[in-house]
Amino acid sequence: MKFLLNPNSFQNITNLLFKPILIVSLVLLILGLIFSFYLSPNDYQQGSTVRIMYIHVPSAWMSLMTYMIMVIYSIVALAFRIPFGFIINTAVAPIGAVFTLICIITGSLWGKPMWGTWWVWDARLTSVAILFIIYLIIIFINNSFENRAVREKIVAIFILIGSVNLPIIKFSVDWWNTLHQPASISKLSKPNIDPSMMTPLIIMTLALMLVGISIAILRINTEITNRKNSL
Amino acid sequence: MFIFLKKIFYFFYREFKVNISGFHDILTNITFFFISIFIFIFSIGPQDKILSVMGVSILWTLLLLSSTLSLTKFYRDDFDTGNLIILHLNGFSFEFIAILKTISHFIYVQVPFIISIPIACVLINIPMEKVYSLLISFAIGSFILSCLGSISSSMNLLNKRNYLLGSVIVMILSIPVIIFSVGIINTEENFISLINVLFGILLIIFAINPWATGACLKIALQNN
Amino acid sequence: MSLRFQRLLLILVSVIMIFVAVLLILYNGRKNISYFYTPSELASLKIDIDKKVRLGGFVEKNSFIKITASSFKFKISDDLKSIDVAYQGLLPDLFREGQGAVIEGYMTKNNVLNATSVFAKHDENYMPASIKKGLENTGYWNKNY
Repeated sequence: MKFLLNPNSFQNITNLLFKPILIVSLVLLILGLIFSFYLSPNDYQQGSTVRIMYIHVPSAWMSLMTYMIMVIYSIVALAFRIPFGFIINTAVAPIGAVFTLICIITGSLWGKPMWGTWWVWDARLTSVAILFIIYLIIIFINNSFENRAVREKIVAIFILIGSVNLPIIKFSVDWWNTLHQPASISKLSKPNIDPSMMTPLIIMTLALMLVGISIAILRINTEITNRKNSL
Repeated sequence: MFIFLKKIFYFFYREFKVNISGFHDILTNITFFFISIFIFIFSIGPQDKILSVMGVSILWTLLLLSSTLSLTKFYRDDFDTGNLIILHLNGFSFEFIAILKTISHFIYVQVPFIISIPIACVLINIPMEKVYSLLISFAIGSFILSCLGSISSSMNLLNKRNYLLGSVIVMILSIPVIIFSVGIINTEENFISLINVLFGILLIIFAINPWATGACLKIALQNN
Repeated sequence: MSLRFQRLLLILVSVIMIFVAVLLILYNGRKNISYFYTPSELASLKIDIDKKVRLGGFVEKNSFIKITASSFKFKISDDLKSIDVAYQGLLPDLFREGQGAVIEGYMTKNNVLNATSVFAKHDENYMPASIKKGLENTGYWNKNY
């Protein structure tokens, strides 16, 4: 597990692993798209609009997970003075922003036929919009300081402050009346999704996760090389 | 202990003198606030009804804007003159400096706004029953804004390119403040519980503020 | 006061403050950020006639009346109370009897909600259409929403 904290061993291991991960992710992505467009049944109420869910839900999970990773690495980097955390923060933020944007766009595409509106300001939708803007601000901070040692620490502090938003996103549908439906899958109870619809969801989640990981590997390696060259 | 209290007293005495000698800055803030109210009045036109319905939201937006636009000065002067280091050498930790500066910012920048709210309410026809709840919500909300301003301006001490970034950070973090404080004014039944929620947000941000600000100040002083 | 003592004091104070704040927010915040009222909440509140409200609940079974092609009447209920709604306009796909909906509109004098827009609310259950038919055929379909 040393490669998660040390840039050199990270580069060594990911040079080996990158191509397999990329191939597996592409295969899974194609398989997941085939499953979600052709092999999965229509929903009993939404018809074939339910297929938007197979991209919406995984990208929403990925946006939260990316932020979680950034939070963990910020704590590690600030508390134990491990600069690799800063590298990950800089590299991963745009990926999270893109996932959040995908989540918002597919969500409003789903909302127009189903709810009858593109966008409402209920608690879930608002907090996800705030998450997107937080990602944007992280990218802005990354680009607006001359001194790298300053900006990466300030980004980490801002990430920690912004992490207040995460539990609000997760629990907003349980705490308050929202137009957005509550979570279908939770650890405590049996999922409310039929197995035939669960398969494409799981495949798509794995696929998007691996796509995200492979893009992250590319970006992190670029960042490491940049920093080595600028020394 | 007594010496420490005396130091705190001298800190506020110095802040008082600095702010009195720079009184024009505060006056400029207030003038900005009133001019933007005038602009709103003229851009809406003579429809008094719309103005009194939207009035509270307009007031809150303008208060947020005019108190964030002056944020660059929050730590800048003390940072440039080396006053922060002197305070630190005098036995204040950076976290404690953050708390003191936040309180002094609340007193010298936000309280003038609170005082000028009744006049603004007269200008845009807000009914007098609402002024009371507007004052309470702004008293709590502006303290939250001071804390957020302390965080964002200490983040941007070494930022020499992107001046709007500080305001953007304050604004995104202040969205819950706006939601609840406008809610306070528009509700009758839930008044107490909404004030409790706003007070809870204040406590959270007031607890986070010294740690975030202290860390940012330390980073800025180390890398200057 | 040494720096270390200041820090310790601050840590203590901020932990206590965050604890109190979380309690305050959880205790009070639940009913205030709701996107909509349920029918029984709306019935117990006194709502001004020209104030916009949002009402959420299930469309009551056998209450949907189509007056013309684009004007409808139905009841929104939460098993305790039900409120009459009148609406002119397009209905979303998911809108049907027994399904959740959120209504935005104004109360009129005779306790009818005059809707300006209707959103359908989806629940968290996903199920293939064929299975639902099978369940209905064998009589196991007894979901009451």
